[in-house]
Amino acid sequence: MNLVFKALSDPTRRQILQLLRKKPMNAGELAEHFAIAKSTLSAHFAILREADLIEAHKSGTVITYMLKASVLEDALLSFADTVGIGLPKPTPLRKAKGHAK
Amino acid sequence: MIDRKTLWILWLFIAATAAAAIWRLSLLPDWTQVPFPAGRDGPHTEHGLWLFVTPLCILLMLALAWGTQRLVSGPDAAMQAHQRNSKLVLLGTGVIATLMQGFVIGRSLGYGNGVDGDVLSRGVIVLVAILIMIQGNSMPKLPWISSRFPAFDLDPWQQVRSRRFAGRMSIAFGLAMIAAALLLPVSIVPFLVMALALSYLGVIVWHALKVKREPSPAP
Repeated sequence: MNLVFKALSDPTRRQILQLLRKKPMNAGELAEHFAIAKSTLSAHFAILREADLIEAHKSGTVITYMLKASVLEDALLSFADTVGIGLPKPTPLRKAKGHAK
Repeated sequence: MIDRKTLWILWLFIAATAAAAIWRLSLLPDWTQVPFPAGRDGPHTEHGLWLFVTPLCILLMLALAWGTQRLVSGPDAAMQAHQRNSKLVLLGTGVIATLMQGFVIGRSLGYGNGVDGDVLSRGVIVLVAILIMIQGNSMPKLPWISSRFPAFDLDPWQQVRSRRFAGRMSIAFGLAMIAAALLLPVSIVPFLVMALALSYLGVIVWHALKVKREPSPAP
C-alpha cells in the first residue's frame, strides 16, 4: 500500500493515471501531454508499474500502458486529485500583490 | 472460477452439511417436523427439507463457479489469478454456511437458545457483503481472459472497462447489503438482498454487452 500512496502522491503520475482511465496509450502519446523529459516520464512509469497501478504491453518497439487500479486505488486517485495532494501550495494573496509591485 | 483445492473443500462442506441434516432427521419420529424449542416466535416446528437448503446453496455456488470456469479460457497464469480472486468468497461463504447449518441443527437440539438469531443473521449478511466487496475491489486488476460466448468475448480494453464497472458495482452491492442488514427488519432482508443480487448481475451483464458494442481504441 505504501507504493500506491507514493505513486499517487505525485501530480504528474496522477495525471498519467487520469489519461489512462480514458483509454490505453503508448509512451509517445502520453509524453505529448507533459512538458518533461522522456527519461523523467519513464521513471514515473516505473513507479506506477511497481505499485501495480498500470500494466505495460510491448508490441514491437511500442509499449502500451493500461490502467490497472483496484476500486479502492481508483477512489484514492480521485480523492488525491480533489484534495490536490503534492501540488505546489498557492501563493498567499498579499505576497502575490507584493511581487506584482 | 474455482481451483481444484477449493472445489474439494466445498464438496466437503456439502457432504458435512447434508450428513448433519440427515443425522438430525434420523433422530426424529417424523422427519417432516423438525422441532425448535426456542426462537423469535417461541417453540415451533419447521419442515425437514429446510435443513437441506444450506448444502443446496453451497452446491449452487460451486456449480456457478465451475460453470463460469468452463465458459472462459486463457493462459494458466491468468486463470490462476481469477481463481485466487474467487477463492476468498467461495471458501468464506462455504465456512459461514457450514457454521450456520451447525447453529440451526444445534438450536433444533435445544442448544444456543441464548443467541439472538436476528443479530446472527444480520452479522452473517454483513460478513458476506464484506467478502463480496473485497473480491470486487480487486476485480479491475485481474488479467484478460477470453469468453467462449461471442457476446461476452471482450478485448483487453473492453474487459478492463467492464471489470472496473463490475468492481464498483460489487462495492455498491456490498454497501447496500450492509445497509439493509443493519437498518431493515430481518424478515425482509433476504428478499431485498436477492432482488439486489439480481439487479447487480443484470447491470453487470448489460454493461458488458454495451461495452462490447462500443468501438475499442487500438492498443
